[in-house]
Amino acid sequence: MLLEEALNHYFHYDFFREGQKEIISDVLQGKDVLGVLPTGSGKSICYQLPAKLLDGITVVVSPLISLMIDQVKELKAAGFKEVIALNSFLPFQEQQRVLKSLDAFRLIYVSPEWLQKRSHQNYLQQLPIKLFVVDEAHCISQWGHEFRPDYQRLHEGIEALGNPPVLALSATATPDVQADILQSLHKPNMKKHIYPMDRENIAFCVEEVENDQEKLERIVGITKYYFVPALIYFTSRQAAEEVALSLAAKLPDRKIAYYHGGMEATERLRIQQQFMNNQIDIICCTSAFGMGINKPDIRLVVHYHLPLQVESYIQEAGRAGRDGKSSVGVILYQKGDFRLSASMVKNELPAMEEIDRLITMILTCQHNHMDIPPPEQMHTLLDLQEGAVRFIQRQLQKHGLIHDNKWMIDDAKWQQVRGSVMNYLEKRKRYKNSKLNELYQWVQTKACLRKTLYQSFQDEFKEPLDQCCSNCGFDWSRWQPKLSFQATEAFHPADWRKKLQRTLNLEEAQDETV
Amino acid sequence: MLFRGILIDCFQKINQERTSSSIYNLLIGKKAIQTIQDARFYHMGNYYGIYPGLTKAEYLQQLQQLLKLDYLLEADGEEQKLQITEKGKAWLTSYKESLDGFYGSKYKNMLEPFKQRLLLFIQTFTNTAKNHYRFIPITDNHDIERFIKDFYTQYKHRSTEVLQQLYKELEQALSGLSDLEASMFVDRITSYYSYGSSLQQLSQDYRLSIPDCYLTLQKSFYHLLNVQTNSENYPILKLFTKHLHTAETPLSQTAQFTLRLLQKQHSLEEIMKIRRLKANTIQDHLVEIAMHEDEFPFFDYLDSAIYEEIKTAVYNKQTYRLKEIKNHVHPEISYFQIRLALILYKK
Repeated sequence: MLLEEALNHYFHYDFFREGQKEIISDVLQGKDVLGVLPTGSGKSICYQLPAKLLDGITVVVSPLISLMIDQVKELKAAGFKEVIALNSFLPFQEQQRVLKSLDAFRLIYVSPEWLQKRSHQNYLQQLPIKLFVVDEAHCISQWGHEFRPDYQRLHEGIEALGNPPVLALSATATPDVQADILQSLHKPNMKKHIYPMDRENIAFCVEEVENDQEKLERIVGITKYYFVPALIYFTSRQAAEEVALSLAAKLPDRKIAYYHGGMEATERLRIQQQFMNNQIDIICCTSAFGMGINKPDIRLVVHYHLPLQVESYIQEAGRAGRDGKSSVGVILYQKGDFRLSASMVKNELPAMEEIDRLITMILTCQHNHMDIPPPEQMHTLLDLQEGAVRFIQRQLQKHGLIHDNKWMIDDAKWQQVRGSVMNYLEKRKRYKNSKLNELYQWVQTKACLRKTLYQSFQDEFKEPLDQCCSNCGFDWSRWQPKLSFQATEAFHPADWRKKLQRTLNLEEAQDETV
Repeated sequence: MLFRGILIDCFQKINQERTSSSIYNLLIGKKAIQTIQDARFYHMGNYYGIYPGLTKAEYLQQLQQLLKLDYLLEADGEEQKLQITEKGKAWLTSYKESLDGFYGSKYKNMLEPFKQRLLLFIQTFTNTAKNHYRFIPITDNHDIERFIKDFYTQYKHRSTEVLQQLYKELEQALSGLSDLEASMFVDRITSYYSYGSSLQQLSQDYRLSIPDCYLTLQKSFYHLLNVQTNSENYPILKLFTKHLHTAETPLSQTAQFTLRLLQKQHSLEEIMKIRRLKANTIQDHLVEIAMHEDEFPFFDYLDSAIYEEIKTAVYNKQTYRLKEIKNHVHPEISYFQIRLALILYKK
């Protein structure tokens, strides 16, 4: 069967997008492959199709459990049923049931933590694994913006599974990060398929405003006119909710919702599906929204708050215009934003004093034979963000001060390693700050926004499809996308019978009989 | 307002004899014997388990508001004992009617599966009728999916007919509710035509709090269950209750063991020895058994004079509070006997 036929047969697409066929051909030949494809180019087909075609099982390591679960749901809805997600959220009994019948699946998603357990590896070793996929492979690299230490041990997992062919995928890997991926996976000879990141159909538009009130007014100004699917990004859940409500009050004829990680899973699914279904046109969201969302016609991605590095911005803005049609990424920026971002960066890592205080507290408790919560419960001892707590846990683990969820601390040992913990902490701080500076320099640059945005990834740039960016001259009046929404009708509870008919597909039938 | 009304109603009913946690346990449908007993003694069974997802934080937040509004106040400065104020009483009287329509105990263990079956049925049949087979089911509960799959194989050839009949039944049933309640119910449905509203969206559209929206929806589902029980005109709705039972929470394992020994005519002392348990524990089992078993031999443990004495104390003091009752009966009457007498009194 030709690859195109298989694609159509299993996934109902008529043709491959740039890069997919090349990557899939190499994967099917058993080569180790690194694929870097821009956001929204259909990376997952690169292993989902092989999973269908290979005579065996494909294992995919994915960093985000919620993303994994969404993908499994979507695949099942699309008729790909032999798929499962294994992670720590699976109820114990369910997991036991599944582990006994793993050979019934073709595609197995696992979280990196899950894969690290010996007993889990034992189950996988029984299976004919024909492909090992590292999704979001930039997480391997300390210089990637979403560094996940668990990813650095993936080479052990690959070995434990008998060295199947490896496919590493990322939408955001600079040449440095690419080199790190090859090295960390112990696969120096991976075949590289690197495609340019720049999206010719997205125009970038930075607008400086005085305060948050003006940001809201600008959003109203833009969305009042453009009836198109839009995302508005925030760094705080509360801001996303508040602005969604203010917008709804100002734009009564639009359907607006908010979405963030603090909402219940089923409620999140409702919002996602309504957006896909064009029942909602504007979503105010945090970075939790968007991964795995395949809506092709998002026309507008507004950033009310900027993320903390260029790579995240590229990913979030890249959700616009997957259908290749003209779309716009807007950044609303005010002077105070930098300070807000800087304090978020700061809170992502602990201060050295915090670590010292923790160690002293534990030493004192040990000395007085008092109970201390185990290292896994470290967050109860500290008033720090999750990321910062994880940093301390990892460092103490690395230096042998935590082992098997037990404290192994004594003063002498701590004094020996303290210096190297401090150095590493400083290094990470510098790195995160430099990423933040890079982003804000980009926002304030006078040069072409498009070229500056992608310059660390590539040297050549495509011609913009429509307008380029606000520094090269952006004129809203020249942006005329096809408007996809009508103003929504006013709503009357008394009309529920009519709505119920429509809901149950009976509208047409009823009209005929009347 | 609905949530508020339910809380005030509960606090009036328990009349400071129980703590505020007991109301929380009631609303989330805790299976503890104490909670089930509370629901019975204080006539709050209709609210049992109507809000399983309620978090303690949300609950406490709502109580704080009621305190602030002067509908409730802390009795004797005790945080756990709340008293309803005159203002609260007046408000409750004007609002009371809207609180009807919950059948928590009656349909316990039935509401959730019934709800999910109905909703997944509508999503499945409206989509497949349009030849649309790719949709993400609104629930990933295995049993519910199984049920609808079987249902689908059985009825797929008559899907339009089934949907028309369902319309008839829902139209008729929902007409017994207010337009607002019916409309909110319809908005929540996911079908081919549209994906149902989230609670947050309902809250925006109807200008009600999220708990009020949730409880309004719950009430509609109780209403549907109730109409299909009381009338033969709802064959489709009835299908969604297939194999669902209102069954009492079964006896705990340990109480079952005690029951078996009891049935073999062992005495309390013997059971204590066999099971190596304290008298208190075995007595707890007996209370549990007494609540579940119709044929419990109450008068093996209390004679009729004791029973009458306890009954009189309850009547005179107008209370179900164990401590209060204990203070007004003969000192030799035990707590165990009082608990049994109360169960008998209520039967």
